Amino acid sequence: MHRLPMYRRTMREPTYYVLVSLMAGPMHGYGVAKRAEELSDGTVTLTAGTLYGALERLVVEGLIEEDRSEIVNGRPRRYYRITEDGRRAVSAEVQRMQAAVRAAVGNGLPAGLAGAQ
Amino acid sequence: MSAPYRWAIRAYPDDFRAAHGEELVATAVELHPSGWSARQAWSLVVGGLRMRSHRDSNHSPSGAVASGMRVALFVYSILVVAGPITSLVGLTNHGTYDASAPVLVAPLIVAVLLTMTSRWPVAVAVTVLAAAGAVRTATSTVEIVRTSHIIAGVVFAVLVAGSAWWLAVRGDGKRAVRPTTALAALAAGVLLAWVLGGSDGNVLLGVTTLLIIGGVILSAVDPRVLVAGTACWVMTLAIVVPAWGVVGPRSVVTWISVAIACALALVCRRSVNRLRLASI
Repeated sequence: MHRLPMYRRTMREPTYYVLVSLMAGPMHGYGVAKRAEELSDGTVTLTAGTLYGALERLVVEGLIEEDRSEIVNGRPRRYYRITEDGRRAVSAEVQRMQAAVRAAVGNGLPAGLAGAQ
Repeated sequence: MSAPYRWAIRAYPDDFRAAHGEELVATAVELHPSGWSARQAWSLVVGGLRMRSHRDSNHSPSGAVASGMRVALFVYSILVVAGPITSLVGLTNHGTYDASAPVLVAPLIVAVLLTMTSRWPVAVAVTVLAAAGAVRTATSTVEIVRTSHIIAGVVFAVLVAGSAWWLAVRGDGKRAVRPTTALAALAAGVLLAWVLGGSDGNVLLGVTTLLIIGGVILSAVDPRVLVAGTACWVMTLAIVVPAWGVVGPRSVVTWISVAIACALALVCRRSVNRLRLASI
């Protein structure tokens, strides 16, 4: 069975925030985890295992790639950057979520509530 | 502080651990700077097992089924050899065992090769045919004297070592199981056979129980393990039930169980296709 590309499938929340975090520029694993937590208002708290599982899969799928490695305070840091495919995946997910909001508003959800934080 | 994390990252494949191990540990320490965290350590264990599962299945649904079959065949190899070994080394004194078992090993190897090349429907057919052949052979079980017992034991060992080698190779050609792991599994099988008295039925029951417990735990780690586990169970049923004569070869129950195994294989194939292979 042919697998759909990542950006044609529903994206899980942690994946989404990992990709969005990297849109600001190359970042190392710890930076990605902290940025994802900030962007999601603390709802996405990535553990090391979940984070590196996601990074590995996203590299395999070509949505991110390794940027550079360095040693900081004796600790290895590998930086990742988002690819064009990764940006397209985020864009597709945003469009999917916008369509979902429109569907809810069209079925009686107050527009103000849909835009509420 | 990082010691528990260093232990936990052993769950990852060797190559990934060599490339990212230090980085994983450093990130886990940074994410929880006030001391080691059980949540971080557990996430590393689960992440490692999940990565092994994904790699073994080659990130594809049919790969997950093939992976489950390889596990089943590996377990079957251990089941085949564990009972006779306990007899040979004198741990138990049954004196006889099913002479049809070597007959089963040849189609087993063929089935393994087929599953490795993702020709799983043919592999299932070969396995079921082999099982059917075993039902016939089982009706003429031979009592073996001590000398030929040893010769048969050596043949067993060579055949099982050969099939274990193929079983240990992943779909992408890399090793899925280290030789030490395979030997440890075999040792565990022999120990279990000894504890349970070397009776094939008891060994089967013990291994089945362990498989179910292990499967439930691993299914919590990765939903695909559930699918692979189902495939594993189907293969075990299809091979072991008729082969050991757990129920009589002429019994309707035997053929019902084989039919159920085939039906489960089809259901498994359908459900695995529906699996959403999301990133995390």
